[in-house]
Amino acid sequence: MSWIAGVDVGGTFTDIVLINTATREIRIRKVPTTARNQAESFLRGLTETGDLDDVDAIVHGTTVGTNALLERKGARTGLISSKGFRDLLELGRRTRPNDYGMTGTFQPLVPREHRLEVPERVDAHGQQVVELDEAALEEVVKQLLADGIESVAVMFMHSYANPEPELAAHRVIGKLWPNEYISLSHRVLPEVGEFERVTTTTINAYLQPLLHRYLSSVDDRLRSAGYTKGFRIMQSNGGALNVTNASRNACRSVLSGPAGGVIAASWIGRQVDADHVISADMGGTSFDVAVILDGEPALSEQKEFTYGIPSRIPMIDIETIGAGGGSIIYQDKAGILHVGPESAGAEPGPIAYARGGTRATVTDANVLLGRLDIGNVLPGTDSPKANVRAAFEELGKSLGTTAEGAAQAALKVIDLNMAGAIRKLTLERGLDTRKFILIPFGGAGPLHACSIAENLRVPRVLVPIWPGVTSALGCLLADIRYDDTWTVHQRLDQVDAARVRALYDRMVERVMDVMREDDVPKEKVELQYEAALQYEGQSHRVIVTLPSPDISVSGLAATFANEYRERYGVTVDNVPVRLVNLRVRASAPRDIEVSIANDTMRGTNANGSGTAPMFFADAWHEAAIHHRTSLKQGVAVVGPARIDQADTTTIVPPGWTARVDNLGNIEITHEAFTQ
Amino acid sequence: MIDVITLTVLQNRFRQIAEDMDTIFDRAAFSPIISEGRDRASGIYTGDEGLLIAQGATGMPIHIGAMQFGVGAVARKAAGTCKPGDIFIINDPYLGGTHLMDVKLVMPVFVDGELFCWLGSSGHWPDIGGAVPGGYVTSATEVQQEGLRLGGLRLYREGTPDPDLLQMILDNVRVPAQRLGDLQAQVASLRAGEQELRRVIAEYGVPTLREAIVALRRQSAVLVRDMIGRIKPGTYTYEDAMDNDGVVDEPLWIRLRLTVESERLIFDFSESSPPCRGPMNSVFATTASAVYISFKHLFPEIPMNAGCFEPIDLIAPETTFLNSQYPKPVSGCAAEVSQRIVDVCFGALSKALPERSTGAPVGTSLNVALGGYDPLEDRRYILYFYTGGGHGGFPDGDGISNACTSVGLAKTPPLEVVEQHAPVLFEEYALRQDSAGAGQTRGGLGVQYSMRLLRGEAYIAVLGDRSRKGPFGILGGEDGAPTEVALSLRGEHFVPRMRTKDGNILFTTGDHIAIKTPGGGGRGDPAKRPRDSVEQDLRRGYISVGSAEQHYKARGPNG
Repeated sequence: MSWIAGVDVGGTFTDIVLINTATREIRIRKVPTTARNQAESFLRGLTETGDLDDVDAIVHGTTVGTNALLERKGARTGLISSKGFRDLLELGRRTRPNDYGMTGTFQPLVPREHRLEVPERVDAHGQQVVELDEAALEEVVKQLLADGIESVAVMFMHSYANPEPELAAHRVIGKLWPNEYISLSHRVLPEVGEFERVTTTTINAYLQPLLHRYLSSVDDRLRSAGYTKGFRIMQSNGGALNVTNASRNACRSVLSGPAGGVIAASWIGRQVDADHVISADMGGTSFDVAVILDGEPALSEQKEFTYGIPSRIPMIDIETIGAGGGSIIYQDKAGILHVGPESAGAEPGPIAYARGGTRATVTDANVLLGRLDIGNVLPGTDSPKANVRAAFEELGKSLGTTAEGAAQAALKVIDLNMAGAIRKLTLERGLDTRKFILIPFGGAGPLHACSIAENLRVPRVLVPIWPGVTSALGCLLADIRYDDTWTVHQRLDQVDAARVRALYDRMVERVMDVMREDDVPKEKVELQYEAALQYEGQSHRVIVTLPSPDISVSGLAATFANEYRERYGVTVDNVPVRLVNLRVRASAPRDIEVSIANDTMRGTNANGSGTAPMFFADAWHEAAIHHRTSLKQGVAVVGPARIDQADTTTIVPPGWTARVDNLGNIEITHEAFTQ
Repeated sequence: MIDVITLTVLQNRFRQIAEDMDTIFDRAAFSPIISEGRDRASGIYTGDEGLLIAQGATGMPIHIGAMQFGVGAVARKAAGTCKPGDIFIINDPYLGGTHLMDVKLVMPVFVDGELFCWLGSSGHWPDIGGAVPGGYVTSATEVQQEGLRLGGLRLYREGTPDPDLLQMILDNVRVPAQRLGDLQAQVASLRAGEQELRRVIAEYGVPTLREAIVALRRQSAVLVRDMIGRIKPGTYTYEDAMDNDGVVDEPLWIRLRLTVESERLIFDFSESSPPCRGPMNSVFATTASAVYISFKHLFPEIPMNAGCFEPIDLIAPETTFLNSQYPKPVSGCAAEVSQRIVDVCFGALSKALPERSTGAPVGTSLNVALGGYDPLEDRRYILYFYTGGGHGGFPDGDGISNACTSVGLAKTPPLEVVEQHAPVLFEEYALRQDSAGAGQTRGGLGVQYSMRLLRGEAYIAVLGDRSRKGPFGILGGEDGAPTEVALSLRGEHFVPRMRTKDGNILFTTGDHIAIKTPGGGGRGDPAKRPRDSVEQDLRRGYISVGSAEQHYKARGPNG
């Protein structure tokens, strides 16, 4: 028996998906997360779902890093920098927390008393202007140790152009430092831009001890339970790495959880031959979207997790807004309606959850309009329907409409906001949403998907089999993957092809070290060479894939011009091109081909389980109610209809038609948008 | 009567259209100041008078209030004659502009042959001709020295660019290929905005939209009046000054008499200094915009449209430097004077609305421009650098350090990128100790940096302010430290002729410039600052032992 397991540990629930690679049987499970020690719910959930002896691989999505960063619960960290530059971390790049309102505070990850300097300076050409003072460094290291610092970041100016001083510093620190928690800026991020580099390096140092301890404890428990196979951690780039690599590269798993969902969406998209996919994960408090182009999630180079702390590593470009089932609906002083970003969360939650919530939420609006059956979400709950109605009646009075009108308006506002987040991602890349399919997941995604799609004129929505555990599914689908980048930041016509080759060679060495640590044989590693280019002055970059690490400058210029013209429909003359950075993407595909048996969701019922009133477009309709597991493949379910299942509810509005496809997905299409 | 729900949805739709326009402009622009610095804004304006309907959330503050004046000027000039597909270009400061570098493109949107509204796109071009690259001519005495002035000219006729006018513009700006790229980016954003707007028009119809626009404006006015209602009625005065105008070293006073009535604010600047000789004049649109920005900072929750401006009266006669007329030079207005106007508004409002008020922020961008020749790489370069400083102490905490100015949102470029572009080396870039104004909540810290020329020769120019007096404290808080600019030229100490403003200074290998920017003003009596906060500031070196003793009556760790 060979199973592979994906385990996604979120704040509230731990999701487990097991797939049998021979029989293609799938098992899913949701258990409450043990907040104190996530390793507990991890082990318990996993062993309750399957026998560890039969499992060949486990991939884990975790929020340990994210939470430590957002709640400032990382390690006691020190920072050593070139003389004159210890404050970079705190100075930032001249911003403020809010565009308007001269308020708000900022606490850097490392307070100033733990940021120390040593004489050392390299210039923009990589020439040493001031030699590293090793004696001074020793003193600084002793001071940090005396202050109880556990993890240290080293950030010298222009270290991407000349890593030698940082390497020399590493040798000095290594002699005195009691552990391996030493993060060098050129190792973490060999890119120009001192603020982003120092911040990313500091994030790494800040999270490394924590992640190392947590992952080691999970690993130990797995081993003592007799598990001997691979255990890997989902990374922000959508790949997976083992415990040693993941701890060492701690800053690279901050988006571990959401990345899993996007990987699952891209896998599902590939199975139905969709080139372009919008991955939309809507839960209780937030809405995470990403775009997938030609089967691959679009990457971003930078994300600011919280004010003033950008992380600059290759990661899936996930846009997050505060919109979810728990988003609170309210009116401002001028009477304008707002939905979110404030959320009622799980406690007290929506009014309909009967857990003490008193403020109307998106979930309540869906309940009132007949789009959500609380009995399906929380079986056994005696939902206070009268309270829900009363809340919307009050709102309706003030809006000059009925309770239903108010609920409908609130949904319209939140759907518009979510559509806006998607449009931003596509507009930035010059893409047309009409060429995409939308894959909604999370507890609330399939409820809102068609409305969002209508907004964006997306013709096709595809609800995966188990929308509630998509991130866990993504974990077990992840390849072993590591991306590396290196700054060039030179006008293309001044670039030396031999130097580019040398940089690529250096990066290949680095990624091969990681792959070796992850037990991947050299011949199994697939390397992809990429270059990011831009027209001088532009902020966004176009990434082109190169056939080999040996470039010709004129060839690269032509490739870039073509790509730019193709994407934006503009020909640019007489503007110099800049080679921003080089990238190597190393991956080792899974040994095991994953597929889900196409009879998993083959029901027999074509007629549904009856009808219920549902509110659409200012009127009540009788809508068909179906249960997902009994839904017959291929049969058209014409909207308005509701499809219930344990982990979500799918709404098919009027004008849309749903069918279960031969892979078990619900495909929903709109007559007006489909040619 | 239009219902609230439709209004809510339309308010969101309008804002999203403006934000789509911003996104497209950012993506396609060729100037880092636009694409990275977001020194730009997009908006939708009424067909009749060009009144603001909606703007994107990330629009540069100083453009926000100013743009409707520029759009209004085009609307007045062209409403009767414009055709679908026309696009107008305007940057004239006296016709509702800021400095010449802020170039606006304005496009009418017609429905069934009738003018429905205008779309506007404003962006800071890094060059618009004139005596020096970048447009900040510190010694200018006439606008002609500052660059090309465009008074609402028809650049596109029914969808096609006018080749002669386009060439005239490109022939008179530096690096024309990139300016053409910026211009095309603005056109692309206008057209994308129009396309999305047409969807909304098709969905709701013009009569509903017109009704909604009026209703939304009325609602913002209601919100603003409600906010004004929280301010204690009365008359409040405040004054502060610019160091000088760049030509004559005398302070330029901004004197505000703020009258708070039950539903109205009157900002009267009549007693301010007369128009000046140098480029530190402001124009009406910029002065108005600065007033709106100060209000928006105090009440950030109000959505911006023309209704916000209705309950606000502005008196800035032409006899003051805050409403200067042709041909007065104005390049300092958007970058520097506008900040002091905001400060003075903050100062007056701090007396009227102390519970929301903060100490004064940094108040200058300290623009440094360096143009020279690098013998090693055999090329000419131009380098712009600017800095932030402290925000003022606010009710719940200390001001942010190295914050952006009140009127801008532009990030500073990475030092390593600056060092790649120009043969300079930063010797230090650090928090400035003892710069924060003391207070119960203190100001944020300013920055101090020092930059040395590694090779060749260059000319350096400085345009800043706030050297006579630092950002003020409020409610018993103390002032932040003032600006300091010092150069070392051939081993000799040199201070700019106009303190914080000077140009054409020969900079040779080994010379360096050292700048210290202001910290923010403090808020509340420093004696009330918690002991452990003072100790933490000492431990972190934000303040020195001497300063702790002087301002907080605190002893140092060894004292």
